[in-house]
Amino acid sequence: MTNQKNHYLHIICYVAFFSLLFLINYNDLFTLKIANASPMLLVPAVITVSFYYGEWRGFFAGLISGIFIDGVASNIAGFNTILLMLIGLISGLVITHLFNRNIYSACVLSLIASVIYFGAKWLIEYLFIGSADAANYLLFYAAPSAVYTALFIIPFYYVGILINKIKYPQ
Amino acid sequence: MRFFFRSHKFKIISIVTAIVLTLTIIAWIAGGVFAPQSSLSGVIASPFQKLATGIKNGFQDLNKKFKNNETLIVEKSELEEEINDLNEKIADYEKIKAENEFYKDYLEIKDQHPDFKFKSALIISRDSVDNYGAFTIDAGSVDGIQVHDPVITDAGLVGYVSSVGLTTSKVTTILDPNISVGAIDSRTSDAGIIGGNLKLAEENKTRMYNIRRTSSVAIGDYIVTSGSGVFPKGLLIGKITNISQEEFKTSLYAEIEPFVDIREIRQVMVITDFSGKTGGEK
Repeated sequence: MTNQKNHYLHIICYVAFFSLLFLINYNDLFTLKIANASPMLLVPAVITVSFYYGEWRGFFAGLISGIFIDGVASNIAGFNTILLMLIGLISGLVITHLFNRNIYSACVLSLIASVIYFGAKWLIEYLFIGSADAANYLLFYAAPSAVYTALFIIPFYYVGILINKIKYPQ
Repeated sequence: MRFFFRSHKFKIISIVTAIVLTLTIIAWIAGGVFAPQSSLSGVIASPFQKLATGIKNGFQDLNKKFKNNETLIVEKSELEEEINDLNEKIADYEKIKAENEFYKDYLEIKDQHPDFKFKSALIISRDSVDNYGAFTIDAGSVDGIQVHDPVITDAGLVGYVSSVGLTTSKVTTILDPNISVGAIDSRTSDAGIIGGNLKLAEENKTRMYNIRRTSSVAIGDYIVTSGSGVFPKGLLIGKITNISQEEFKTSLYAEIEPFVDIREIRQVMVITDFSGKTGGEK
């Protein structure tokens, strides 16, 4: 019974964690923007889930958060859903079969995922439509945002450990 | 890893991915609508977003009040009365009063344009990753909102509805380079197209380009919509703050400071119908 209770509490913690990040990113509860760099907090959050729980849960964490983000983000329909679910799936597979589970691997995965996210945004919203701002956006907005986003994996890694202690108190 | 690709989990993931891709492609083809899964998530998420927006606005108002020392003493006595008389009727009264003041400003626009049909909407979400101030409002197809409906405040044009869900809609602002609003100088009637860029968007400005080289536009001129069919004629956009030549010197462009502070507004009006409205591609 205690194990089941811990399990549900653990799920509620992750739902609350993702909800808070969603509200911070899309409700301006407080601004995290530094100069031109705006973080996309759900990317390291999805990496955190796939890091600790593998590709299956990472995939669904990306899918559900992407669906909610697509309801409010200014990107084209389905952009966040497709990207985040693939990020969750692939990072889960990579961490399960290739990397060791430590903070360095998490940082590398987070950086790669952030680069993929902002790179895809740059390609679809600037380069493919021939925007005059394509180079400007890549160098001064996308690149700093990708690095800034990747840094959030460090606190999220420890948040993941904290939430795991709820499920496995020992 | 090859066992993963033969497992049931991979088959389920493939099916889910195929469904999501199919729904997304349908949304792309339809144009201007949310993917069905996002439309449903918007219905679920919008009450929480409204609550979070209300809390955020409350903190911002409180912060502004504390910064103004001159009104602090007056505010203190008013707050003391409110604390003593803490009940839901006061909260309702404040809400109705604010709505009345909001609608009074639009009465002037309605008097000038009796053919306009409005739908008021609250801004419930802003995309912090977007550089052009795009936001989401709490009105959707169930409220009569359609794609390309103009979005305004009492100060002027804000943008247009770029995609519509059931109960929420996304708005693309005049800071966006892809908006392409037909505009004219209210003094000289010189025409141009409104569309921003990254640098100007950071300064909350946009630009009007494709102005003919021989035009007599000047700094300080007011820019209004030209009435292309998607946007009604005569909506205030902003005023010119700078004029320059385009890259190959074939035309001019003007930097426009909008009358609306796009990143600070909390409530907007969507023009759901007006005389002469057409669909139009964006």
